[in-house]
Amino acid sequence: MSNLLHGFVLVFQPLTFALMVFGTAMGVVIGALPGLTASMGIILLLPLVYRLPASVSLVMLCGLFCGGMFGGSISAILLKTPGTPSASATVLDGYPLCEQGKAGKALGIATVSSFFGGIVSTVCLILIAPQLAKVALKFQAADYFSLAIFGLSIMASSSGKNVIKGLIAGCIGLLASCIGIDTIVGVNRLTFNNMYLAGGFTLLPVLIGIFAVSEVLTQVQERSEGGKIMAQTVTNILPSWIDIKLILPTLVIGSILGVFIGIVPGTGGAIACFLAYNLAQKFAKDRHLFGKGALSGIAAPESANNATTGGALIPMLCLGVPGDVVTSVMLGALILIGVRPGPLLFVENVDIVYSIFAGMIVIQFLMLLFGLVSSRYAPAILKVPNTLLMPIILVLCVVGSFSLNNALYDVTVALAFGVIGYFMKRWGYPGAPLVLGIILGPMAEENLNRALLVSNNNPAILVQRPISLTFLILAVGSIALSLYSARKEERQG
Amino acid sequence: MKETKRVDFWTGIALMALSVLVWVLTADLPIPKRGIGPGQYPRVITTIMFLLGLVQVITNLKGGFPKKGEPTNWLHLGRALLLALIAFVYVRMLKFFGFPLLTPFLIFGAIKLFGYKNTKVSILVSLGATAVIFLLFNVVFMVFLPLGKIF
Repeated sequence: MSNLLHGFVLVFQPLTFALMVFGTAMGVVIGALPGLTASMGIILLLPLVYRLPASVSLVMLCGLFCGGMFGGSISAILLKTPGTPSASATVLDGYPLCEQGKAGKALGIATVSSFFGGIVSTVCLILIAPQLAKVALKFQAADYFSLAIFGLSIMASSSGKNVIKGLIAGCIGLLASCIGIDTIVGVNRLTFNNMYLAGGFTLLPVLIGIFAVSEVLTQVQERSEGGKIMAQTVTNILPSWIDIKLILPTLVIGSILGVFIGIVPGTGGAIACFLAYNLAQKFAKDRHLFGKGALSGIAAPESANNATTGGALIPMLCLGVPGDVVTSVMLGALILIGVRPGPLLFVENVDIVYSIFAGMIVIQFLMLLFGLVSSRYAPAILKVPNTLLMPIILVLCVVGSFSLNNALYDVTVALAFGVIGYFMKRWGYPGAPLVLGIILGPMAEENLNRALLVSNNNPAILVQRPISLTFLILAVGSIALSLYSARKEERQG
Repeated sequence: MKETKRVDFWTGIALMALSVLVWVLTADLPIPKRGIGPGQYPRVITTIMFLLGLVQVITNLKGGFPKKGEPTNWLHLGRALLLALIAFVYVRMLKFFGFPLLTPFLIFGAIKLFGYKNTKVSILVSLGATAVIFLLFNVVFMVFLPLGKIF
């Protein structure tokens, strides 16, 4: 408890608080603009992030994460275009309400539901994360290797129908992480005697390329301008007590479901919102209105997707394995600023951990405030066309990758990975496993080497330790399950 | 977005070729007595990659060589590649012309490639965004963007 209070003291420091407000506000705006995602927002903030103390930058990124998750609902309701994949289910009832002239009510319910989901997930984060970290402190090299494989396999297997493609992307990431001077023996590996390649691929340009540049290239091909705003004015945003009572059971169930989905690595808000929506369709008091503007139809996905935020932070902070795409970008950001997530974070950087906990609580209130106040101005924000925004984002990508080492080589790497990411998207290969492969590759290699050194080159150590064996079984199980469901789906057409 | 099974087939072939290439390139790397060597780890990865490539090839060969799918939209592809090319050329020229001089042209070109019609707004946004980004990074973040050699 004293740690948490200290965390509150830290987040109310003027600079931290100001950047937390900035991060949350930026998250809401970025989430609201279709085509821009929370992960892209975090990437655009990276040049600022590694110039700040770790706790300050992390709280800002958490603000962007939560704000972005909520912001997606604004365009889902007003444009019928979800700003982020996590708001996909919000369209189903949010837009019909908007068509009925109740855009304010829809936005109000989305805000309150996001706040509720965020608070529940933060409480779970505070309660679960330290306990899980205590367990994770017992991990040895073999367990860490298997954990890296588990993280990668689960991210790859959550790539929809394309499990094999997800695994291929993960392998390419692992292979890319091998390029450079080998850390164990110190020899050049796959560098073709190129001095730039000897340093390996720095994470920031790769992140910028795969997640941001590729998105700009994808959008230029279709010349997407964005949708047409149905509501020009938004009024009566604050939900009534009767509305709150109506959606309360949905909020509770959606939030719990969201936390659970968030904890499972490789999932995320997009899955949570549909599961919660389907569940609410079965038990909500206003289920007869689903698809026509049911308040529970907005409350369920919005509480669930925001509840995944705290849930997704649990495996990222405790194990160093991200819960979804945004947390994989956040993991990259953490490594960039010199913080290695994992159980030791809870021993060596207590300040950072508890400032995140306290920050997450404050962020939910900020999000509630922004949601209720800014919704009025949302139609104006959504009028900014993508055709003007995307070229500026391209320049920010260039400047962001340059700012790491003041080197144009890094910009070239970002653009090259942007083109790779574009073709990956075009051909159905997910980008997240590739990035995760680059992040987890060194961890996997280092710990595999250690495990083999300890066991005198006996690979059986990987299955002899119960924790390691559990992770490996889970890894194989998740791939097998995904392959089975993909096949089943294919047969059903 | 998916174009054709043929692409998947050829990607599988390319992956297998890449795996063999990496296998060859890592042949001369030292093998320690204990632990995993610098060459063995990439070989483990490429073995898995080779198998995955093989699965891709076999899966897409089911029922004969994959037929041509939807025709590629060359206009879409061309637009994306043209923007990538412009960005690469921009980076190459940045050292010589500098960020403040060259960036408005990149933004303006990209805006036009995106199909935005209003030229006045495009010019204003190009100049305004360049100025804001330049000042933000040079003054606030202390990241000194290239000024070029011609001045």
